[in-house]
Amino acid sequence: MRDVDDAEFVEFVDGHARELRRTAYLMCGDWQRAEDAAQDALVKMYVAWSRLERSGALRAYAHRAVTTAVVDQSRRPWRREVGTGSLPDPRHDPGHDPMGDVDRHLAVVRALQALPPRRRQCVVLRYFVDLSVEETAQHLGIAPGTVKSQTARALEQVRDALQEQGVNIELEEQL
Amino acid sequence: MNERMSDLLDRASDDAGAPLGFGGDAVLRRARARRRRRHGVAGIGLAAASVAAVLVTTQLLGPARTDTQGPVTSRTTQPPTPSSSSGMPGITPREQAITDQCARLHLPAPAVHVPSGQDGIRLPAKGAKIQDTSASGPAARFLGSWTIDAYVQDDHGVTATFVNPGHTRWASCDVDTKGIEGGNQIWTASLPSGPVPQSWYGPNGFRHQGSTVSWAQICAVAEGKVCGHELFAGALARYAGVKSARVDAPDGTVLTPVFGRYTYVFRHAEQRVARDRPADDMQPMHSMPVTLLDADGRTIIRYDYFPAYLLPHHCPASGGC
Repeated sequence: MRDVDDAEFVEFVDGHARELRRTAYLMCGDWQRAEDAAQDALVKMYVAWSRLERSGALRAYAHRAVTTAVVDQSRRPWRREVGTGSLPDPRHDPGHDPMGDVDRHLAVVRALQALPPRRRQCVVLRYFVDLSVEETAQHLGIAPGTVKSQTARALEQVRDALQEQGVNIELEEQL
Repeated sequence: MNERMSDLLDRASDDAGAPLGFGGDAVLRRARARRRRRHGVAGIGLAAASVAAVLVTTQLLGPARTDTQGPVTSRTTQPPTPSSSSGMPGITPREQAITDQCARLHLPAPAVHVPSGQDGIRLPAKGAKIQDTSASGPAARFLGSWTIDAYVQDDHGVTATFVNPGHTRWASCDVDTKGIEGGNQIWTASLPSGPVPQSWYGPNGFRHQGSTVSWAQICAVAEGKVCGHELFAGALARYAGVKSARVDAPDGTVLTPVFGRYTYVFRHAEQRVARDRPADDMQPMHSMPVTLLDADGRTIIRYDYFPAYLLPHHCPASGGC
């Protein structure tokens, strides 16, 4: 790759890495895994940088690559290990505010983790990355109708999961 | 309450400005190395294909071996000698030595809460005494594939932390070099992630960071029944945005932990108890506050941590050691 491409790549990474880490976090619910996934996705992007740059869809591609990297991570054997040193569950702690901001955020992340990977990808790409139905379909290689149906089911599942965790949120669907 | 999904996701993924652990240059270096490796693998593949082609050709065109020659004796291949070396790239000889020492230690059995005699205590309560059950679990040979994250060495020994390849678990290891009973120990725990929790209380009602015994006071055998000198060997997980920490030891010494990428460690020995103290005197447990600081030196949070007290093997469960 040319030096000028390298410079542009570095600039892209510096400008988008945090946003990509957030996307990865929504996919996996773990900041360190998210950081690993963001790096993995960016490394893969480097190989196809010239082609991607010409297509003008760098940001969308990067976010899709991050969601895929998280799904790939979860298939690796070492991701299946079960930790025993679990953190204290804040819901059982004295003085815990069940509707506190932190708890609500954690509930949202937990609800996302309960979704099948494809539905999670649809929700994150549609509502966090703000891709259209068509863009999401194109990047995931599925039909727009499938994106709509997967997203609708995901939203319903998230709403039910949040209610089960005591977080009463009415989701305003934007299909 | 009406919430837009996009707003929910935006807030749920708020990283509170936590800095990244990598930059564009680092990713570029990694990507270039990966590309070089790929090209290298492609070259090796091509060479292997060429060798295979030559061998096939030789087999097809070369003279046939007669049965009188007997079977070709297979050359015995010595299995690779188990090495204590982790073989991690870029590791220094000292780090390798620490890794080897820690890999020989045995994981503890689950901690036993001494005063009540109840099992299953996961979180150290304020002033809890936990019987040292080290060396009763399997050896920590898995450390050979883990990465050493941080370590600190003093006259008494070394405290080191390791992180597994997936960055999901970490291990804390204390190696004793001066005959401190209970000074050799290793345990592992899940590696927490994300920003420092701002509201976090354990089941015992005290605010602290660790979810396992992450702090040990170790009495030297030579001190007799009362431990005049105590060694505080601390190993704690690091959260996003934490750049440094200050630890206030019971004697007023301000400690500056050594930071790794995922954890931080420190060691401190002090004379905390009078030598003529009665054996059955229950000394109060002092708080050891940890102040976590961000990149600008601002306080993120101050944990008022009460360390668990690790009893050496020879100490009676009733205390007074």
